[in-house]
Amino acid sequence: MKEEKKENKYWLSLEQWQNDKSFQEQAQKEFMQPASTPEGLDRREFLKLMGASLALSSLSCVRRPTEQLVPYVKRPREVIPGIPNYYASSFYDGGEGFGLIVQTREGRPIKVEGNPKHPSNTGGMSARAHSHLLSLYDPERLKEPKRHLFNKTKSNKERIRAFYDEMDPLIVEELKKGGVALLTDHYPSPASFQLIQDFKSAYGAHHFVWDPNGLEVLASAKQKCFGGQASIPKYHLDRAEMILSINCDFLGTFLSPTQFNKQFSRSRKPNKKMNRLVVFESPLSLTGTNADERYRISPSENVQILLILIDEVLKVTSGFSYTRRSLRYLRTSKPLSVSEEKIRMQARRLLKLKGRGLVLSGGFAGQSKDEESLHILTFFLNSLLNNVGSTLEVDLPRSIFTYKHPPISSLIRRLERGHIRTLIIHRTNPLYSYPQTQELLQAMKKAELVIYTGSHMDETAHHSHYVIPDLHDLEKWSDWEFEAGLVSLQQPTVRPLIKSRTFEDVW
Amino acid sequence: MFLNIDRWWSRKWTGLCLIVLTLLGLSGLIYALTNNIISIGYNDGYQPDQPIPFSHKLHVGKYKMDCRYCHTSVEESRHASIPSLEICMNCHLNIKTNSPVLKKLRKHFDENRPVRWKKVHLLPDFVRFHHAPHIKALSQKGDLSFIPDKRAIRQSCYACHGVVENMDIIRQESNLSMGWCVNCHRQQENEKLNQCSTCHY
Repeated sequence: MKEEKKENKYWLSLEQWQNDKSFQEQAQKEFMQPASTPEGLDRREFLKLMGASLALSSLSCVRRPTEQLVPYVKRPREVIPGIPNYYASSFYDGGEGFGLIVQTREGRPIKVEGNPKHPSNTGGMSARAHSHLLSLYDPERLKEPKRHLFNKTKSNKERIRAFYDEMDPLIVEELKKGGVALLTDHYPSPASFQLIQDFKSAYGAHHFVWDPNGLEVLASAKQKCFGGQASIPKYHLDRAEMILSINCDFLGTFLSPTQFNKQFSRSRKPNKKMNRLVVFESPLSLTGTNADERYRISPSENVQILLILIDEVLKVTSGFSYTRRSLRYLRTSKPLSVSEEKIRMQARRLLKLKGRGLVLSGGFAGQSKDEESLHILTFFLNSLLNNVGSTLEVDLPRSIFTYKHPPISSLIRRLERGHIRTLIIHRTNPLYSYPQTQELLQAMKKAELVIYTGSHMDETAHHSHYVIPDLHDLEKWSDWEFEAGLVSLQQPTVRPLIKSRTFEDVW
Repeated sequence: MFLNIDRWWSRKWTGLCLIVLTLLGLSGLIYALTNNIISIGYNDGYQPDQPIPFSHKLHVGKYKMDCRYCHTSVEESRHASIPSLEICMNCHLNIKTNSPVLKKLRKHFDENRPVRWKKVHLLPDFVRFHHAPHIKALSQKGDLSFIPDKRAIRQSCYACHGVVENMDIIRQESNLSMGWCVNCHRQQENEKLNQCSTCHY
């Protein structure tokens, strides 16, 4: 025993080393205690059962199932089973516009891709554009108009199906009583615009716009600085050799990331003319990860950084000494997250590239009460650097679509005062996206009739009297002018899958 | 010896007989399988009853209709499509208006309901077959020995589907096994097609 112990001196387990009585007993037995088995079933029984059940189940695969071939009754001429058809269309998701090519098989769209011939996106697509096909086949889509049976306090949730022959005369009567408001998001569709104008003149309605992207501030800043319409300027990042972004995630979320991605990568070639991206931002964004230099700042410092940049530029620009002195009053003495010297260095770099640089700001991380001044300062800096006209285009063709609509806040005020009887909500889900939800909800309850054209029973739909689901973008005709001077058409690629009408048909 | 106990199923000879019989049975089964006496898993000879008793013998054999009049997309698509009801009514709107077998057809057409035919030639999902290149290949080549007549397009259909003009009810003639397909893909002129990804993609 002692020799044995010496041999496996190094490989003793704790139990072996202790070598107590119960361990010695266990060591005598060949097998350990079996793990708990189901009642009445030991190993051999179990194997027998498994073998028998396997044999029995394979006995059922005797004959192959009968498949059916179901041809058309009247085959549409352009449909050849097995060969896809491609249709060109377009899509606007509330912020970006795309030209699409939709692949359909036997009348059903199965894939959307960017249309390389469309000047707006030249084949580029965003995740939302690719995936809006899936919402066409969403099983939770409302299949028919619904009507809420509200009691006085609107606390119950009973819904019934609504029929057009009942609904139409009822709604028209309500509309005739006046006080009609229409709430949409930024909806640059010329045909629908005309329809809305007709509707407004027929019922004396007011059109309010709620844009979750908050672009009306940028548009009004552009109008204040450069005149013209309250529209978004056009950025040409491919013409820029240096891009300075102050909390502007243009590669990820700002304005039209697909377009910006393409432009940015065009001048991002590693030869002598590779562009430089300097980013000052707070949350880490896609733009920040692609930056050559990234400085982490607090959002409250956006304006301060711009002021320092402008100060540096004005130092060497003649005739602005008075402006420079006045702007110094706007500076705070609070220390910044980035050293002032670094910021001034960026300004000096930009000065060397007059006309070939670009300063961007705005976007979600730039939304604050200072946003308009932020934009105005950015435009001022760009104009000092001669960027206007080359990388920043503000002389845009006239468009019927501006960002100057009465905002949702005035809608809420009117609702609270009781001026609005009928509220129609289209292409927006304000109870989800508007920050002051309770305020909006209480105001909506004061309206007599709320009609919503959303496709799901979402937040706004729960509090509407009628939910008339609008057809999907792949099921309806439309036109878009998401860029001034560029009109693209949208055509349906499938017959409507739900028993409803489009927004335009309804009115 | 513990084998010599009284129960007959535990006797030595019983066990030995069983083993010999099993071996004989297995070898017989393998002989039958390899010499095409029986086949397992393939559906050649499958001849289901169709909802409307359409006779190819009448339309193709007697009236000599071209296969492509009904099966229109065979030269361009992967399916040789089953004809739509419209194609049937091209003739039958006025022909044999009183026939009882066509009553069902007309009813389908009037009610705008498609006819649910039973699929005869069914390939498993892991293999893909595209009609168009096969029709093109088989109609151009003259020298495939197992096709009776080498020129007409219908012969390229008969190569796989059997002589359809003699069938009252469509029957699966060939077993559609991989070996049967590969026999052709293995030929000299089809060398480039003898790859896995030709059919499994």
